[in-house]
Amino acid sequence: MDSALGLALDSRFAHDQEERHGHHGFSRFWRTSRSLDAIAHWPCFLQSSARRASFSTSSARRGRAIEVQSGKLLSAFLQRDTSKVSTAPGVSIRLQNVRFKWSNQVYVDASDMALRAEPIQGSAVKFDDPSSFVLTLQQSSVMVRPEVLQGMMNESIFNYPGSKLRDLKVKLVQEDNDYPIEITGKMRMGIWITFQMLSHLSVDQKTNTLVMGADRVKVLGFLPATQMIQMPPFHLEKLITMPPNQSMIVTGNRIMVKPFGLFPPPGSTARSPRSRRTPTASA
Amino acid sequence: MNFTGRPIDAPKSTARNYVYLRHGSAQFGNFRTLDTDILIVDRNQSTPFSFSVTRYNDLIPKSDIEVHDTKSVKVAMPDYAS
Repeated sequence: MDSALGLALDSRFAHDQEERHGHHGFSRFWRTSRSLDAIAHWPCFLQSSARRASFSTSSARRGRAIEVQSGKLLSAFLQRDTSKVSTAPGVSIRLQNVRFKWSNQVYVDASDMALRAEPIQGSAVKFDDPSSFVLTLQQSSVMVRPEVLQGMMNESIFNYPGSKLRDLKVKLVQEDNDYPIEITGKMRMGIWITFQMLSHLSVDQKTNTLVMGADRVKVLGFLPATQMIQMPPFHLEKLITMPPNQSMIVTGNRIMVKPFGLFPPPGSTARSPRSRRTPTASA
Repeated sequence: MNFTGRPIDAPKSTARNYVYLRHGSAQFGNFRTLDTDILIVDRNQSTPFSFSVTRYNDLIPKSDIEVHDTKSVKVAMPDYAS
């Protein structure tokens, strides 16, 4: 993944900016440095596993086992991201005050964004064949609004054959001074059932992944399921199938998405075999 | 979101809104550039530049393309309106 090392997202920050500037006010805001204050740092789950392991010998063994297993899983996960990229140097891209669009629903507003386009095969980046290269995000501050995150989830993150999540909607909610996101949609558990999940977005610095935790979950609109998904048979990793492009992994109840998994393939307005009702963004 | 890494230098331009492609080999249709140096500036600098990575070529006929030497290209492109 080269130098795309850190990724952070703070929903409160996005909320503040939406309130202040509306859809086209991002360029003014990027001149400030508040985005740096908004970076959330969550410990990676390997460290969490190690911490829990100190309570007893048996739990220590179990913790080490989890750590080893997680390490292997992560290595494999990250390996797949880099192995398909050729060794050609690629083309560096810098954007200033740009709305960089993949589709009407998926875009980022960038005040100063650096990317690198890397060919999957050959030595040249063929910009007319977007499936022939990948974009590596480098130093950037970008703003993602809830409706864009919703587009990312429906068009990219959970849009693959066999996906067990669909018709997702995202909105920011306020809880005291906190702004978690509320994700609603349908999950396939034999039949499609509605669910509602409150989640904090964060970053796993080691894996450079966007992490969505399941803080509170309800199903069928009223049935609390937070306790249920704490039980191993009902962990999200057991309920959610993985995408074939390896852009996402689920460990326990944490969904971890690589940066490239946020964006649909540029040349495709891909839909899963079942058509999805992706709400139109207001932008 | 904040991503960190080593960016390329900004172009020598007074433009506020732009997409700058530098280094490496890039192919656009039948054209291939070596040690790419292409600056795409927003024709309307008063608003953010709306740029589509999938539809940029639709806007090429509506753009002004300047080739002052054999090493670099400057393109003045209108905003992408979906």
